[in-house]
Amino acid sequence: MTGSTIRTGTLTTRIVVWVALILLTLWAVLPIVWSFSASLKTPLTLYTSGLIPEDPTLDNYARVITSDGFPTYLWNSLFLAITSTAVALFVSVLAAYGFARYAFAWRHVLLLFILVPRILPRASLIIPLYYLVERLNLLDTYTVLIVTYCATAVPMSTWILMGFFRAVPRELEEAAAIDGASLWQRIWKVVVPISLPGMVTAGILSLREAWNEFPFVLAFTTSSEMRTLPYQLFLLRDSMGIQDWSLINAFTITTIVPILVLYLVFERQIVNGLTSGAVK
Amino acid sequence: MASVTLTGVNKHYGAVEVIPRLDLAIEDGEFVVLVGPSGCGKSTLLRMIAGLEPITAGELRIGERVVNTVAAKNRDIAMVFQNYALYPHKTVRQNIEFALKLRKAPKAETARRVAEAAELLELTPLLDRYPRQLSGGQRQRVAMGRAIVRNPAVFLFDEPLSNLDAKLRVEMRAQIKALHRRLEATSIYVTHDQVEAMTMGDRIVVMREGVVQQFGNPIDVYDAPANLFVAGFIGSPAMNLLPGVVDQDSLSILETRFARPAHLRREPLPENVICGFRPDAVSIIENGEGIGGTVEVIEPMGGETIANIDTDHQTVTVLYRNRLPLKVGERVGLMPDFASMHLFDSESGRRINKPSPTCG
Repeated sequence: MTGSTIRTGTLTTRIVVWVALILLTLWAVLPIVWSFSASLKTPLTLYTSGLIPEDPTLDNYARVITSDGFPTYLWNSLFLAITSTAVALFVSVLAAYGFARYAFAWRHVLLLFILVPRILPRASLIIPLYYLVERLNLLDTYTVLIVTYCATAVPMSTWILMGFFRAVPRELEEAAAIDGASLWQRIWKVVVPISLPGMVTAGILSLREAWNEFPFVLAFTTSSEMRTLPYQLFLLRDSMGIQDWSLINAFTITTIVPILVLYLVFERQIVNGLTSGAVK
Repeated sequence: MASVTLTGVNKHYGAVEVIPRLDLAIEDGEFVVLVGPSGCGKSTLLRMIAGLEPITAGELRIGERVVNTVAAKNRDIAMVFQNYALYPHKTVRQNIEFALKLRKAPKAETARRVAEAAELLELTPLLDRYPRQLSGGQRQRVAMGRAIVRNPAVFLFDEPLSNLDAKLRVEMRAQIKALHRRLEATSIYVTHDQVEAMTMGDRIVVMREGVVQQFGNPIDVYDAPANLFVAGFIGSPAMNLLPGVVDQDSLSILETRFARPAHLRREPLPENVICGFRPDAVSIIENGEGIGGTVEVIEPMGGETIANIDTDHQTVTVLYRNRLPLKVGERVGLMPDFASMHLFDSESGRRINKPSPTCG
């Protein structure tokens, strides 16, 4: 939408749009703000002051970071999120390229079918998967989590990347072919770098999903060495008897921050109009 | 450098035949232009030579080697695309050196060849810029740089100037020609612009519906078009093609009777012919003489003027250099120059008469 089309809207339309946007923003941001505020309070002052804590303290964060096993949970979360995202992106690039560039029979049907792992509720997959994973002797391993995370990330990434790959002019690949590039080189040296915004989008979404994933890690792992941050958050809430909401919120914020930072860093790196100048 | 020879080349897309059967021999070092209207198969032909489209049947040789099944990257060709096809995520330098890097050329040699190409195309100050930071003409030069840096046996150009403005097109035309003279590499150039074809080609191939209509040097094609299609396509403004009826002593054009021209008296001619006159081979004379008509449009171009004259049967285009005091709506007469007339069979469309020395 250009500036001029916004300006041509009537005052009423603009007010409605602004009110809707403000409400949506509040709806999205308020829980985080409240959680952050709670994390700076003590259990005694939690409900007595407003959003701005009277006597803010970082004690809760210190307690989270120094708590038993925190480095392990953080490492598990990081390792699983990064590995599963890398594997999912690698597979998705090849799948998306195939769907974008080759007109094979049943292509559209297959495209819908790869969405199945995302359409089915995750909880409904747990029992059959558990049966399968147990038989494969993969319970309580990184492998099972990486495989299951990839299975849900690949369909989404494939769909996102396919759109970006289709937008890469064929001539660029033809030029690369004449320049001496093999199919593999054309994909990784031409198509993927040009589709960087798509790669970043698919990557961040996959990473976020894996980072926040809870049902699979709950179902397929048992030992404390395999716990991830969301799992520990769940245990924290469950096992303390008295709910220490300040601590829980400090943990929540600690869990959110890495993903938030990633969003902020990469948002700037999604370069608009990267392909301008390629053709015409 | 290498010759390019196509023998019985044929191209189908499913049931659709795009190129029926084509033979063409392009000599080593020659600059050949494939010209024809949109959809005539010229780009398909170029893409088959490049290895971007498979050949359905026939044989394609680059030099002595049959390359039908050889991948594009192994054909020793370079191609300049209509839309430049520059890699947007690479700088000018990276664009130019990409092919050399893929071939794992030594670093020093890569740097030297990139510098040479950049120098030749005046791209040296732009080497660290991205394509989006360049103008259309500069992008086109980068595309050329990418092609010449590899020193290929054959250059292919797919309408490389059609996205440029008119002035830049003329400049780039000269630059490409100069580059060809310098590199002396076999070049095949596709365009739908017949002016480009005429000015650039050592020889031109006029194509229509996948069939070569005429192959020859531009002036020969202009002076002696082989058929009605070539006559109408080559030359700007286009040749006037007027129906004529021949008898023993006369030639009637647009129902105006003229004495049969002396040089055609002995030639056996069919009764119905199409007479072709270039716009500058028709003179405007007094009303009442020659073919009568009304001035419809006058387009003064400075040095010359183009006028469209409506003759009641069809419009005739006249090009003249003297300043005639013509007015739109005025009745005039038209006198064709029979010495430079092109005669075509009205049924087959083929040329009948030999070109006269004064043709043009």
